[in-house]
Amino acid sequence: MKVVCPRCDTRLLLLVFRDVEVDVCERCGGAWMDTAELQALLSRATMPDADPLMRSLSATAHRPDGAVLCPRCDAGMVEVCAGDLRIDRCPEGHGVWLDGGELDHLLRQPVGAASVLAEVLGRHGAQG
Amino acid sequence: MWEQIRSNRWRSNVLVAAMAAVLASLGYVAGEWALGGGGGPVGLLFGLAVLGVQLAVYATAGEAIVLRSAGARPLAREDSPRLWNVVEEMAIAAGLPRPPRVYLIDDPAPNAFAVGRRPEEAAIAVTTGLMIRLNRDELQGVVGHEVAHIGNRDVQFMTLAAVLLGSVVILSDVLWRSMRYGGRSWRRSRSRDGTGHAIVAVAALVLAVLAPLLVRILYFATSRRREYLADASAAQFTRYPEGLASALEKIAQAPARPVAANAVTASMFIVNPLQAGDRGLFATHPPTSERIRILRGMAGAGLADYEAAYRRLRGGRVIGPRSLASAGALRIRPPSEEGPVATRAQVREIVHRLGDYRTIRCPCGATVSVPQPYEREEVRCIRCGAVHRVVRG
Ligand SMILES: [Zn+2]
Ligand SMILES: [Zn+2]
Repeated sequence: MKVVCPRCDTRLLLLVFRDVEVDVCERCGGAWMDTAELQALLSRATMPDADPLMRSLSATAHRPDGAVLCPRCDAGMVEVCAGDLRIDRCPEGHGVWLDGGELDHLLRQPVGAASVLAEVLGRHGAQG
Repeated sequence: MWEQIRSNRWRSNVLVAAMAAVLASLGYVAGEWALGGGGGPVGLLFGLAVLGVQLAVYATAGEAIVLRSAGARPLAREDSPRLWNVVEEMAIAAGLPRPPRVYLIDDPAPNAFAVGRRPEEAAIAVTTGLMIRLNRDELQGVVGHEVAHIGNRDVQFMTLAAVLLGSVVILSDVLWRSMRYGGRSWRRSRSRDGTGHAIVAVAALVLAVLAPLLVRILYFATSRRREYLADASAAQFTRYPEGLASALEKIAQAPARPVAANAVTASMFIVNPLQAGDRGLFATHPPTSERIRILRGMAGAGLADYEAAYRRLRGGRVIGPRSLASAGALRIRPPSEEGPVATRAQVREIVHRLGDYRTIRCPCGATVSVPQPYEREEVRCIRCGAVHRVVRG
C-alpha cells in the first residue's frame, strides 16, 4: 500500500526498525504514523503519561480548514496541540502526520515516545 | 446487452478505419517529402504497415500492454480470497464464460477498470485504495459494473482504442524527443539541407496535433451511455443499487491522485481520474452525481427500474427495447454486514509480496522499503544516513 506524502504528493519510504513502522517523505522530511504504529511506539515509552506525543493525542484544538488530508482516508486532518507543538491527526483515528520541522522538534523532547521515535529514526545523537 | 454489443462492434470498425486513414495520409505526406515526387505510395504502404503492427500487438498482447501501463500486477487467489470471491460471484451473475483474472494496482486512490479482447481473456484491475475503503456491497457494485463492461464488449473496444492510441501517443513522444535532443546529429548524418529533420518535424507536428485530438474524438464517441448501461447491469447483478451508488460517492470524494492513470487508460476507470469537472463536451463519463442519483432513485433492482429512474431524472431512454423486454423484475436485497475485503496492513503485505517495494537492509539495523518504480539510483537510509544503491528488478 503506497502512502503518499500529503505535502508533496510523492510516495513515502517505509522505515522499519525494531517492529516500528514509519512512512517518511524523502523530500520534505515529514512522517506518517499509523495509529497501530503509534501504539507500538507508546508501549515502548518509559514514561507514557508524561509523554508529549501521548498528550498531543488527547488534546483537541482544531483548525477548520485542514490543508493536510489523511493519506489513508483523505479526511481533512485535525490539528492537535502538544505543548508548543501542533501536529495533524486524522479525525477517523488512522494516525498522525508530522511535518519535517515538527519531527525534529519532537525528537528534541527528552522523554517518553519522543526518545523511542528518536531511536527509530536514529537522529538522537545527531540532535545532541 | 445486445444493442450495446452491436454498437461496440461498429465502433471498433470505425476506429480501425479512422486509424488507417490517419496513418495512410501521414505516410503519404512523409513519403513525398522524403523520397521526392512519386514517393507518396511507398509512404502510404509504410503507414498501413504501422497499423498492421499495431493490430498484431493488440491481437497478441492487448491486455498485457494496458495492464502494464497502469502498473497492475496479477493477484493470486491466495492473496485475497475475498476479492476473488466477489469477482467470481459477479461473473456468474453476468453469465461470463469464465471469471476474469484479477489485477492489483498499488494506488491509494480508489478506482477500478477492466480490459480484454474477448470475455474469455478479460481482466479486472482494482486499486489497493479500493480494497481497503469499500465494504463488500460497494465492491460488489464496482465489480458488477466492470463485469457488465466485459459482457457488453465495451472493454474489447476500449482495449483496442488504448493500444492504437497508445502507440500514436508514444510515437509522437519519441519524435518530439528525437527532434529536441537529437536535432543536431540528425542534420549532420542525414542530409546537408536538413530534409530528414524537416520530415521528422512535420510528422511530429502532425502526430502531436492529431494524437490528443484522436483521444478526444474517441472519448466522445465512446459515449457516456455505456457507463449508464453498466451501472444498470451492476444494480441488476448485485440486486442492491445502493452498493454502487455509495461506492461511486467514495471514489468521487477521494482527491484524484492518478498514479496509475495516463491519457490512454483514464477513460477505462470506473470514475475517470483525469476528468477535472463533472460536465463538459469531452467528458468521457457522465457526472458521477447524476449516476448516483439515478441509482438511488431505483424502486427495484431490475433494468426496468433503472430505466424508470433514468427517465424521471434525465428524461429520454437509455436501455435498448430488446434488453428491457428480456429482463425480469428484481427486488432490492437487504445490505450485507461485511466491511472492506482487506485491511491496510493486509494490502501492504500483498503489495510487498507482489514486489512493488524493494526492501533494503541497512547495517544500522533498519530496513527501508523503497516504492517501485523508484526514480533515483540511490537511497539514503532514513535512520542513519547511509547511502544504498537501489537495485532494479
Ligand atoms: Zn484517516
Ligand atoms: Zn541505516
